[in-house]
Amino acid sequence: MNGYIGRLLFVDLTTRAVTAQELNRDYAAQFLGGSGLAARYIYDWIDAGVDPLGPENPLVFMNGPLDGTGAPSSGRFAVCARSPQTGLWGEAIAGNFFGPELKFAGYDGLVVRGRADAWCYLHITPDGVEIRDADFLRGMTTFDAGDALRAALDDEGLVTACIGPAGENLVQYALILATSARPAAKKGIAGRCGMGAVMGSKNLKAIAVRGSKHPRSFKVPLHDAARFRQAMLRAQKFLSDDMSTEVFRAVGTSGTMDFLGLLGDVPVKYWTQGQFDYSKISGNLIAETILTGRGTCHACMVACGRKIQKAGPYVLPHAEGPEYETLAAFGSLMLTDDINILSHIGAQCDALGVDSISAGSTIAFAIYLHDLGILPDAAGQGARLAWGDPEGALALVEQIARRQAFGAVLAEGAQALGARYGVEGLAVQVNGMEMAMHDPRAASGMAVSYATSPIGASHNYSDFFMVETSGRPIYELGIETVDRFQTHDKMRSLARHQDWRTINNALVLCFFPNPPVQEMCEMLAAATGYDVTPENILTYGERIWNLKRLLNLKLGYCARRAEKLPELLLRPLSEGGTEGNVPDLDVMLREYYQVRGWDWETGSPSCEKLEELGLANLVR
Amino acid sequence: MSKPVFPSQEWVKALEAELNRSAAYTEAGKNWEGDFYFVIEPDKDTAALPEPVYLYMDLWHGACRDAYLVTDKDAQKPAFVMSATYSKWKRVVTKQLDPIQGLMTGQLKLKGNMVMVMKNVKAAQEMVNACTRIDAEFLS
Repeated sequence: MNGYIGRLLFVDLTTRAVTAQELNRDYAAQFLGGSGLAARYIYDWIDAGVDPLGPENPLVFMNGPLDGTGAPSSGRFAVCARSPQTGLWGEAIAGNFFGPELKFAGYDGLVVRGRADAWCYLHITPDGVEIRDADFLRGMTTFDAGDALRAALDDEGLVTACIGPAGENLVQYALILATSARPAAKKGIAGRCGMGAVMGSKNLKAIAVRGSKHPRSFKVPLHDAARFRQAMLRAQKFLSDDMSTEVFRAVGTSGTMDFLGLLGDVPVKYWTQGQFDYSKISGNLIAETILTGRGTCHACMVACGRKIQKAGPYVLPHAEGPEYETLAAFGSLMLTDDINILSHIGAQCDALGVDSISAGSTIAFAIYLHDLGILPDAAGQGARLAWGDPEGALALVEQIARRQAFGAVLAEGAQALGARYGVEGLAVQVNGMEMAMHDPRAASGMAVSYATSPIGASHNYSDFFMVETSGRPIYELGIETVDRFQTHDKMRSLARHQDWRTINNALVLCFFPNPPVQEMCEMLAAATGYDVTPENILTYGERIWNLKRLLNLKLGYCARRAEKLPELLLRPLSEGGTEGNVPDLDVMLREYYQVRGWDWETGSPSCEKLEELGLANLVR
Repeated sequence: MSKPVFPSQEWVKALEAELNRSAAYTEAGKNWEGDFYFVIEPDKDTAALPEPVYLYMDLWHGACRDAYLVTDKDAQKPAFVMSATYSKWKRVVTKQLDPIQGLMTGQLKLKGNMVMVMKNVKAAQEMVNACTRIDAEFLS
């Protein structure tokens, strides 16, 4: 099975059964890998009655057909399950070296079921799979747990995926962090959807993977190795000459802060203001002050990871610095502009195992409600709820991870916090997922991107703001340049962009940056033997997008109730780069439904669309 | 009086004057240090610009200290060299393409300190605003 190993590893923690099963060739041919392939499997396994934190909710780690081949930007993996945060389809995509290492160990993916009767970890090598006692890892941070495993197993080559205290304590937005001992490795954060809580619910603290002792000797089987190599060399040449490669290498994801801030894309004071001194929380400032190196994932030509040994008085674990989203969530969103403590808070989120977007957003929402007088002092149980108070926010992160004091309330997320005080509509979230740090008032298409994303308000299922604000069309795929405030005639490009990013998340490819479409298709076709061209590749994405919609409908998704924007984003800002724009979600959504071929009332794909995509058998 | 043609000596001098008149640019560019070559390269299928054109601009703390059309490109060793085809530059100077967008999407190429450019996006924006105030003619 070219491009794949052809095997999935199944571990049942209740029965302690470990089996390898042949990969379903038909599923792979239609849904590729990563979160696409995982969704197809999970569709068969769960329904609305499955408790996201129950043993019956399978947790799936899946790599893609380009993982381990050397294809640039391809060294990622997907973690998927029913999300405890949203009750819907959940997926988180992460880098580091975990995906390729799992492939080198002999598996295209790992499916974890059941619940162990005591804390455990998995040790996966080509020689076998063991479920081992993890009592010695309990309470450890993600970084420390990974390092402790490498020491205990006396293997510096192990790549680990661990949860922190937040995952152990079932925080709704707990993450899974992949690390390795390579000094220049970038952390891999599977942050969104609470996949760390699902892992914690299984009493699974960590997964330690070791592929071949001689990884260079391991070759992923390729359909046409010569054609693959030619396409890969062209892609590498393109990326090495590409300016965006250089931009992200020089300044990281947060180097775009000043530019996006100028356009009103970066939220301020819980989405209620339009201006901030972004230069104080920017990757450009990091590059000029505290940056000590760059971190990379497998097969990456960019190295956008920020290595920071020390930020002011703070020593950062694995020297891992913050990304754009973290700096915005704990920076401008809370009116904090101290880059040193922001870097420390970001590292603490990763270490304790909470998604920094959701944690920052929920804390900022608490501050906002406190400021309005809705959340009384007494309710905060001594918490410091003030704008521009990073020490107070840091203390809350620690409380959240351990579910202590007011942290136990915040651990349930912004939607629950709003509901607790009768102001659920003020929480900036969609379907229980706190919004990523890109304001749809600065780029209207993001309103539909957030509203229709299969996991809630995430930017990882179409970062359409990059098309709208950064002029990044993909003409080969019919994704055209659009005015960022435009309402009409934008949805075809948006839907195509969603389909494209869905393919990225199936392969599993990084967004920063992509190889050219032609070379991507060539590499995929040469690796797998599939008939993939720039003309037909979006069909794969559309198929997976519609599959995830079907899965959400199966889990109880109600489109007309769910596809809303939070109240605060319907209020124009009087200053800043949004220029008073408020997206007209209803108009855009109706156009979107036409483009998608979906029924407005039910939110379901039409029979014709399902037939066209080969999905009709799923609803018969 | 005839309109300055983009790119030309008249056009770049007009831009110099616009920048030095602009309070917004003075403020936005107050931290900027570094001179530029702006390189306008021929598009593949147009004969209007047979060879690359180099415009030199010495930008310093919110002012333009000098600007001219370069006849000997080896005469200066500027801190920054920004290059693109004529059609891309035309989109930049008519405010259809933000220069930072252009950089991030590979439509413009830069040699020089990337950090310095990315942290001065407001100055770049005001420079484009100054360009749009020049009533210029474009090559067809």
